[in-house]
Amino acid sequence: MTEAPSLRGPLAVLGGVVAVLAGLLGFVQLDAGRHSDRAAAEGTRLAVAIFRDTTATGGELDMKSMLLRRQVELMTNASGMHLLTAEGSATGLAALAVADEHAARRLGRLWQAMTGTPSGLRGAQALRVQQAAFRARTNAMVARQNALMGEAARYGRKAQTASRGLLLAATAGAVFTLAGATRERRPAKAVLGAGVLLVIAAALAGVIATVVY
Amino acid sequence: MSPEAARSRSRKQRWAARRRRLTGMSFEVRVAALLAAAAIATGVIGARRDDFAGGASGQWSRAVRVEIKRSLAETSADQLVYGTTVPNVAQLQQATVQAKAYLAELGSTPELTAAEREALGVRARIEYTRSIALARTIAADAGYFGADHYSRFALGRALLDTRRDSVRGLEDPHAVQGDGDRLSTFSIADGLAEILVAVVVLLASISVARSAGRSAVLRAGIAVLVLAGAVLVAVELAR
Repeated sequence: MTEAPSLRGPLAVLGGVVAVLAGLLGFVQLDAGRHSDRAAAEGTRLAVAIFRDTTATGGELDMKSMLLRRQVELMTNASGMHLLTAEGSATGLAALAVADEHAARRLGRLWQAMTGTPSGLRGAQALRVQQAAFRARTNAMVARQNALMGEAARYGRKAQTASRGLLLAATAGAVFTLAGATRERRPAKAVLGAGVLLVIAAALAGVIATVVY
Repeated sequence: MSPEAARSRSRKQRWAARRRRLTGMSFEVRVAALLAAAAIATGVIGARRDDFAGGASGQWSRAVRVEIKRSLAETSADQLVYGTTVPNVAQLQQATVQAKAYLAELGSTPELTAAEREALGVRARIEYTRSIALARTIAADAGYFGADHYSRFALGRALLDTRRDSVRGLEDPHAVQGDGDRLSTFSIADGLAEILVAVVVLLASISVARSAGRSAVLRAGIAVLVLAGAVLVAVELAR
């Protein structure tokens, strides 16, 4: 005597539950996968931006310090020469020194207008401040980049767990089909029990993917 | 009865017969039809969902490539301005300013010795000659100088223009990433529609398991399937 029809109702409902579970797990996997992909892409973009910012700021600081050095050099030479030739010189160096001092002051103002950095010691101090701000900015960008990469890895694990849950749900579906095909009641119930366990495991994977990671 | 009225009546009778046949369809056949429709919907929605998800991932990867291209272009532009243009400009400014300072000293100090006048004149000539030669090398940047003959240089404007020229024709990575985000949102909407289709399967299964009120459950399943179809259509229209 076959008693399989008595399992028809539970099997049908469990099949529906497996379908919904698979749908939910598929959604969790899709959502986690897109977050992972986006975070990884954004993190890579940020790494490129860090390189770009470092190169640009390095070039800017080099340029400013070059102008600063050049202005200070001209001013120092001119002032030194002016002091040495204060009593006048046979070669005309005294007049050149005075003119060079004027030129150095004028260049200091010009380059300050061009770069925003004042001349002399104040300029060196401004460059130090700019360098410190650049370091702080780079550190913040690196921290953000690390966070994005961590997020990509976390969502990757989430997607992987959901994918395992999907595999379990698919196996549960196959096991329910087997239970339906089994004509003897006891073995059919045993197979059904195994299927239910698989469904529970799949649901657990979904919960882990959603809540734990 | 007119022939027109007879034809109309015959149409109504045929429609009523078809309706009877449909309502008389066995419950199992209706469940099977619903499940078949759900299977088709799952296939269509799943394919579109994967299209959108793949498209989003592709756009995000493209945003990275665009960012790299733009960064390379902007970095080379910065290097050109900071490493070549500004040093040349600085030399030109220095030569011009020094030449002017020598001439000013020459004109404003009558008590200069002959040697000093000679030295100032020679140096002014040298610096002017140098400034003319340097001005030739940066003729392309002449537009960024002020009216006062090679003294003020608009560095910010030169930098912006060079950067803009270097990235001309390249896409904006933010826009490309935005396209990816948009496609990703569509894929999520389709993912939700797929869950609705799974609910249809569950309702069909419950209707099979129940004896009382199974038609109502099946009708609910049909309603949910229609809702899933509406989501799919809405996503396609929003695209």
